[in-house]
Amino acid sequence: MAKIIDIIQRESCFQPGSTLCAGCMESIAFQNIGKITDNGKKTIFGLGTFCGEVSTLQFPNPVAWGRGESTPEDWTKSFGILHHVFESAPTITEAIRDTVDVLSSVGAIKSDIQTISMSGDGGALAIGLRSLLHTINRQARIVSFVLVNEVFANTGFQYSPSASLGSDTSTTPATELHPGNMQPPLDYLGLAVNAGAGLVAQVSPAFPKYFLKVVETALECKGTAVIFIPSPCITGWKFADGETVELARLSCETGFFPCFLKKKGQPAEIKFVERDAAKRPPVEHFMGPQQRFQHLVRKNKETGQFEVRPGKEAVVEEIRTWIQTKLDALYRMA
Amino acid sequence: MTRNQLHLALIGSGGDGVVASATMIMQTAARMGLYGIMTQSYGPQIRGGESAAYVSVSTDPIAVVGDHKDLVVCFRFSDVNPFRQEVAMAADVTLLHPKEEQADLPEVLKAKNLRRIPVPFQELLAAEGLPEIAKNVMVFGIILQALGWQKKYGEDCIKDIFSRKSDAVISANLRAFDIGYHHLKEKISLPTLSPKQVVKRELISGNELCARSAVDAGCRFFAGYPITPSSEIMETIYDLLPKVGGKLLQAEDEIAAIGMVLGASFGGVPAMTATSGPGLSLMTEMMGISSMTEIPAVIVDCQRVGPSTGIPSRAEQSDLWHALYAGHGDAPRAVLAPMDVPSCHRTMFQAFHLAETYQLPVLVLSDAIIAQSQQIIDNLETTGLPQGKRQTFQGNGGSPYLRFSLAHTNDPGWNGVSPIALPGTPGTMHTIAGIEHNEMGKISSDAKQHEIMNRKRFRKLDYLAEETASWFHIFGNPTAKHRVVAWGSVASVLERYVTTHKDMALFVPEILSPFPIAALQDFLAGARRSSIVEQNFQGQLYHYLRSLGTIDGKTEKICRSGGLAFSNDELDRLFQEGGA
Repeated sequence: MAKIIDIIQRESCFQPGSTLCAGCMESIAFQNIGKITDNGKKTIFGLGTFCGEVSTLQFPNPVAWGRGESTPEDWTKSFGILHHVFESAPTITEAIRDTVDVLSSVGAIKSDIQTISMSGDGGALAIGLRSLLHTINRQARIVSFVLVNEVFANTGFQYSPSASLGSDTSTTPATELHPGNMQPPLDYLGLAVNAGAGLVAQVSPAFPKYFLKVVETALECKGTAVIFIPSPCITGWKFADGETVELARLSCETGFFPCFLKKKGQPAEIKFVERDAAKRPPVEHFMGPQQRFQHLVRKNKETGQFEVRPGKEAVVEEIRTWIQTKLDALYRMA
Repeated sequence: MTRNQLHLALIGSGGDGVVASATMIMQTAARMGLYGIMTQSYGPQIRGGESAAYVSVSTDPIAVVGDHKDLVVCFRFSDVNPFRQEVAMAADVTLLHPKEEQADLPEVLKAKNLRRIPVPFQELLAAEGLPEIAKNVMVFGIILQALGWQKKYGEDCIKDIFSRKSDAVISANLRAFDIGYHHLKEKISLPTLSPKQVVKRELISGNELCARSAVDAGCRFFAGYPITPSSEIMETIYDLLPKVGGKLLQAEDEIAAIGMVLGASFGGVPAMTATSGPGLSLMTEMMGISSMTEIPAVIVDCQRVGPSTGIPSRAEQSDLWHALYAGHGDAPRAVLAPMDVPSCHRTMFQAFHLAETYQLPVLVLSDAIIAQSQQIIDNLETTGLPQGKRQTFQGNGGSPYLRFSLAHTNDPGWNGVSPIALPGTPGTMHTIAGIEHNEMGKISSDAKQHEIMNRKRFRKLDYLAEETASWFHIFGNPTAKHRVVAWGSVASVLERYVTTHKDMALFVPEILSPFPIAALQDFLAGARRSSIVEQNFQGQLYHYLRSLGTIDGKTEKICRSGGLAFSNDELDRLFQEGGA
């Protein structure tokens, strides 16, 4: 394991020039992933279609996935990118891994190569769940990052299977009849664990030290490592500039996106969130600053505190129950 | 100046609000009784990149944005580059830009009698304590004054748009509008358009109209998966369906979506889905089930540039062959195409009529331009549109129910359709199978049975073709020397073109399969020159019509890849060069 100070000082493959929204968590995640993977090995990225792909490979802007001044001849500093269809980032990356292994076994490649797939939650958990689960089942030695922002951000913020209870999306809009999305999200952590992944984690760059540690561990993993990165989406979740990291931190502490790490055959580790609801910050702290929960939570003008809107207590209680059930299930793996 | 049209372009980056300004202009025009059309141009990302909105306002109905702009608003000269192929300046164009802009004027914004109006947005707004973000509302004020439109219309529009916001937001925007409206001290000479009739018209996009007309035509179930440029159909229909007792499901992918549609339709309700090229590819297998099991389904494909991810936000007519031929086996289907926003209404009625009447899949080929253009339209009529209902089983005197009954095979009036029994109807237990089957629906590997059932399924198409033989339009002088065939959004560009080219006539099919062959042959008879104009690389319509035997080698193929609409200048050049 490299020292954190060394990692921070590394060059990141993710260079300025992307058209990601200002305040997007994905660019912070990419910066960090770029630095951690700059460890002297060559890296090949397989990208499905998602915000992180369309906004970073955009012509005529400079390719954001670049090694700055490094020339392609510099073996360890250069890297490959393959953009594939929406749903198949893990499978295409698995095939790259297999090719690398074959070439290594005949001696055509001498140094080790890192193979990484990246998708959004729409691409990985809706249309691409089949691809993700079967890649895990085949124990492909890749690291699969899934950026979870709970919506199909690139097509206009429609509901995705990871959308939180009560969230207002363009296909589950909050109206007088409906309190937003009432379909409980897919238990993607449980699915990945049960499919037999070598490592399953949910971790946010809002906890930078832990993030670096988990990603480094994943790169060493002998089976498939799947890392879900909760990514507050400034445009889809509709919050003020500058709150991205704070929301990502709150999303963990309130239990919406608990930090989670489970290596195959070992007990799980749940961090930065209390199992006991009384010790956690109330869910209103996370929901309040976001317009997508505005129909459920409001700011009290006198106290300045976020509070549940009158008449919406039942929906928010349902959200609390869902969070507790989810946390309990995770703690049973610990 | 006496003109009846005005063309505007607004260019900026995400967050500048150019689309919002353009929408306000359109809404005001609609409120005043004018016509107009607005298109947007942007990259594949949602926010952050450059975006442009093009607006054309007219005293007469208009379906295509004008090529040469009379007024251009540009918030940053560096944003212009991606749109250089789309923006052409009129000779005496007016350019509004921030006073702080230091960069050299880009080549594309230069014109013979260019009038530059630098506006100190930031300074003026800050003086009133307003944020810079309100500059798009200020621009709206400036444009309204320059056009000589009444202030009241603009204020009403702002109150309307922000009606769900707090009073503070409304009053801040009204102040920004006011600053703009009184900003110009000297008059700019722009054509003043006065409506022929003061009446409030509707502003709607092709996608919104598709959704609304589908519900009007009887659609009660929608399943879909988000994909640019069709997502607005799902978003619009989400609001509409519950009001009429219908239901929407967002599926995990397009395969599930069309599966859900077929399930709902089997259950007895008219059902549809909407997607774009990549989604249609995934739906292809189940389009075959729809043909085989004779379950009605309507599939809207908002075409974008392909193959694969292509250019998601831009139009192309390259899914034609896919719509006509894709899938294994002999699978009957009908393919329709609207040519502009208002025609989506008629097309959706036709689609549900054909699907329900003939029990087969019907594809509607819209495209990114039709889907996402906002157009001011007149009231739409539903009387006179085909509204066929599904033939349901009403009992046949005690003999057993046969889902795919061939009892009337020898009756020349029989159109091949067998009545559907709604699930749960007593005495009508039957099997539905994608495997070849007999009259009862029981699976069968008999080759002769397969031939008989193929004949039954294609018999429906013969009768369908008879009914739809008159589903086409002719524009211009039908006896003109030069006769042109086009479809979809390209057809509406050519419709405008033939109004100024009297030696030309235009044939636009409303239905592409089965194609109104006899009508096209009549149209082409006696032509000195004929051309097929389309927006795909291979000339898909041209080759399709060749395969049908309706055109010969003398007809010109005029085609190029999509991504950019045809302009009049380009059509001039293409017709001069002649096709392949």
